[in-house]
Amino acid sequence: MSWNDQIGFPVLSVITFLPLAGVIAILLFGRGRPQVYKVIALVVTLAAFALSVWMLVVFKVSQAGMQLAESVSWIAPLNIRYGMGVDGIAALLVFLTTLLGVVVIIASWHYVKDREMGFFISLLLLEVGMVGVFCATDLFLFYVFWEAMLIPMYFIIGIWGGPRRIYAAIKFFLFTLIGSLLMLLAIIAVVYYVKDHTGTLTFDIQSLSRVVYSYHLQYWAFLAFFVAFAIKVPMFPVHTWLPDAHVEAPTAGSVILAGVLLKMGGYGMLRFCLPFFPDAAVAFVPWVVGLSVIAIIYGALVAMMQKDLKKLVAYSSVSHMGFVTAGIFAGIALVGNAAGVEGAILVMLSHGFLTGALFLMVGFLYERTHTREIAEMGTLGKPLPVLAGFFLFFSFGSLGLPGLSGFVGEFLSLYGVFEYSRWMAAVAAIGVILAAAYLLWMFQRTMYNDRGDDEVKPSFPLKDLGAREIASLVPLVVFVIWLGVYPRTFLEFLHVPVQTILDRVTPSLSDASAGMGALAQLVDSVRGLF
Amino acid sequence: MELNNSVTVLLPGVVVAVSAVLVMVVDLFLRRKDVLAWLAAAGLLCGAAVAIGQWGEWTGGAAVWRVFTGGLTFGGREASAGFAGMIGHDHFAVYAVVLFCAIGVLAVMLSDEYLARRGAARGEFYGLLLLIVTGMIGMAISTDVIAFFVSFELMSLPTYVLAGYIWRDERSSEASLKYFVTGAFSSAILAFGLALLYAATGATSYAGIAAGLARLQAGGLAADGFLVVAFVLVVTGFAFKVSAVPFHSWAPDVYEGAPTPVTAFMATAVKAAAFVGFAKLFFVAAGAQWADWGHVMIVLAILTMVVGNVLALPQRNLKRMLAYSSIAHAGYLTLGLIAAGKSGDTVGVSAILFYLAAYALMNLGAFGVLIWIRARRSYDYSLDGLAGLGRGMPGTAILMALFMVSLTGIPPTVGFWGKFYLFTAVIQAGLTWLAIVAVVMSAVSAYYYLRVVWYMYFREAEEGAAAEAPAEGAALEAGAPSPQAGVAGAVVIAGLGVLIVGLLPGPLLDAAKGALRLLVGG
Repeated sequence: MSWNDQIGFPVLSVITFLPLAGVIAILLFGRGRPQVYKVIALVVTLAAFALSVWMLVVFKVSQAGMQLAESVSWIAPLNIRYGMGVDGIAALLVFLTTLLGVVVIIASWHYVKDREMGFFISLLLLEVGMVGVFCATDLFLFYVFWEAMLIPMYFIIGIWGGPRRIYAAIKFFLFTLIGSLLMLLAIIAVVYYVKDHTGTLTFDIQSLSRVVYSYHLQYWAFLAFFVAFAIKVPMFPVHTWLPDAHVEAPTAGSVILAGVLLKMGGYGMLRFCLPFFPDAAVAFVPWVVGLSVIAIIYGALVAMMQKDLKKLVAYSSVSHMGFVTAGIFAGIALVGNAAGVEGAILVMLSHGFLTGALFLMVGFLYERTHTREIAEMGTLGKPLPVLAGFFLFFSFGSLGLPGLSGFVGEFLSLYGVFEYSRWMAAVAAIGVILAAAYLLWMFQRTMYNDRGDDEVKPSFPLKDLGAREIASLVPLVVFVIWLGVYPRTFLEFLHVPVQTILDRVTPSLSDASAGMGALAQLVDSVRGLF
Repeated sequence: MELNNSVTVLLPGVVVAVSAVLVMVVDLFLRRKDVLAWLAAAGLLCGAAVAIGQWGEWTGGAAVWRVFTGGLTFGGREASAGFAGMIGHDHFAVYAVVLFCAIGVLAVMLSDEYLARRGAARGEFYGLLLLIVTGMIGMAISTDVIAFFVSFELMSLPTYVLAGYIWRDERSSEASLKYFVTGAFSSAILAFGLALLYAATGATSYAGIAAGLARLQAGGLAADGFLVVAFVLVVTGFAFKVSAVPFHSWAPDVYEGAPTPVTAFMATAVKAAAFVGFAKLFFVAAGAQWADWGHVMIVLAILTMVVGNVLALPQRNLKRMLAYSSIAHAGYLTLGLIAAGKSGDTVGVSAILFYLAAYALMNLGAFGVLIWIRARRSYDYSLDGLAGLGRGMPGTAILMALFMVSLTGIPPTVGFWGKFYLFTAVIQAGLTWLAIVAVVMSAVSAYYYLRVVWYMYFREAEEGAAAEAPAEGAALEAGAPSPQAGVAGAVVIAGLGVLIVGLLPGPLLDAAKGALRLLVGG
């Protein structure tokens, strides 16, 4: 076990808190000097990204447990530690976060007109919270980052968002807060359960995930954690905050929201719901996979009906994230079905690249046409050939074209679902077809002219993508192709941690069929509360 | 020896009471009234220092230093009793005394500017404030219901006066009268309840009552309706003071009408004292009788959390909003008493102690921000008046946002730890469903706290809205430039406290835990 392989340099803490150092530097030197604070923001995010690449390089993929671990006592009376560390899953997500961190800084260079410094500070603070969530190995530290992240996002949507931004911001906040407060109760219950049974008070995630919890506790605590993460993913039917938040958020906010925040739901399920409560997780598989398949189809159908380009991409997220939850839970339903879980994680990565990129494209289009209505666009491919090219590339990636990143994850995830239930896989596969339909149709209506008259021309000259905008897209293009052509680089990171999770779940598989149904268990354990 | 010990136990109270007299006397002879605030603050700090020093470890400031570093390491001396068991000194009392004095100092800092601006006499104000703190100290050290009741009244009576301190202001007078009538009523109910306890047990000391109750229980008489009535009356007296529903209706009017610094003080210190005093009473004297008072408390707590939070939602006046919010927080705090009573261990009470400190920091901060804004420009305490504050007064807005986030209970702020510790106590006592109610209610509270943030940052100030000053403000602001530094200092201290204790809650958690080490059997 590598739990204590302290390397001299606390790389995870540095990655996490570099943006915070950037904030301090901005406050000290950047006041009223846009060039200075933008450069500071770019430099710190680039440095964080470089460090996270270095982290991936030194990461030992064949080694189980947390690596690059740091652990310092933080709140001694409760034995809460400042513990950081990553396994393969977290390492990839940290990489994704820091990559998008750089991308949004570049993309927002001229985007915000009002209170620009505050905007960059919020983006940097958000990055602190996001990286922290993935790195924390102490349950409490995780919760602190998880909640602290809400506030900058609330400001990003609320201050720099669209016309209905206040509604969207508060809805986003309240949805997430309800979920996390329930999670807080479950955290307390879990930790004190362990204390009562083993005598040690610990918030260490690894230790807690090795305990066998009672059925009662598992069922309601699973549900509390699960609801918190399902809201974040978001799963049908708690997805309703997402379209509002996306549509109103500024481009950078949407990119981060879709690219990283949604991933935290999937990450949380993998890190907590499965290893902590394997029996409950197995019992809930049919429900979760069912809801996921509904989300896949429902998200796709609703996306197809959208008149607003940004809403379309937002609903496509609901659909794509359905593959994540379906893959994860189908993967634990059978022994040796790692493909589903690994596929789900790849979908998370790929969705981060692709949807992040699509939101950037929507933002670039909006800056040029000042509209997001699909009906008001059309024939944009002619004046904007470069933009159209990128747009087509990312649309293809998103609809799952083999060779690009979307395909690998969805294929593996569908394979996992297929192993679990053929007809559910068949229904989910329809979602892939629908994705092709709405994405291609979207591209046709915006870039070509499907109305058959050549006279529809924008009333003002349109400038194609500039060097800065291309610079923000190119890294995403690189990783979309990389993940599509040679997914092994990424899959290597996943085998060991995924196997650890599956090993934990396996013993529950035989019990579940013998036990009561999930609902009966739940009713029983809720009764136990009173 | 006996007398010596008694004086020792009483010493912090004596120091503060003497300072009260000193402030009023100095007021007669000194023309420079700004000295008075320093004097009052110094008296309170001395009181706190004496309390800390009493642990027999007072070696040239080392003990004070430990509070800030490793938590109070209450070793060495045992708790001591004085005046034939009327009062007793224990870790619990020290924690409370230090807390009251600290709140008092911040309240003095917040008040000075206000009093100068309104042209009100400062000597009497600080004198009364110090007397209130004396009463609070008395409540914390009482181990006998008579001493407890006397202290309770010593705290209450000057509070009524302070609520109506700006007597030319109709709303202030109205607030005072309302507070007085309901307060006097609740005192009478409390006295009646305590008398019934005495009648049942034949003792007035906490220990004696506990022994008497145990005797009754042994004789199979504990379930007697008589005791239930006694407890219900005591709980009612408590509920009035902490503004628990359904005895809360005075709070919004009084909070709105009273001078803002007084409101801040009432919402934090008076509430803290009531919780500290009653926690000791319930836990020491009637801990074993949980079944008699616990269920009433549960109903009270749920009603208080729900009504407080739901009625805070439509409020557009910030003082009223904070009044309802303080009702809601009284509900959370009551959970601590319930948890302690049910589980019989002290986690619930130490959670209360921690929460009271946390709540004092963030609430004093929030009221302080209101006072600060009011000192700088005309402001009617409305939500709309906050619009555009994020641009106009960025530092103030950030602090206010911090206090609101903390009141919501979001990490990394002190409010989060308060809630966390309380919920932990409740879950450990096996009342998870009650914790769920509390959690849902904190989610509701997020709406009205965050609304303050969104008015400050997401809305622009209307042109000219700030220009039209209300008539009374204009008339009174014509006076000399006011000492605003105190207000700013208090707000910044509260803000730093919220953040630093939020990041490193260890020492305060230790102190709150350590405070309970000697309480049991007090």
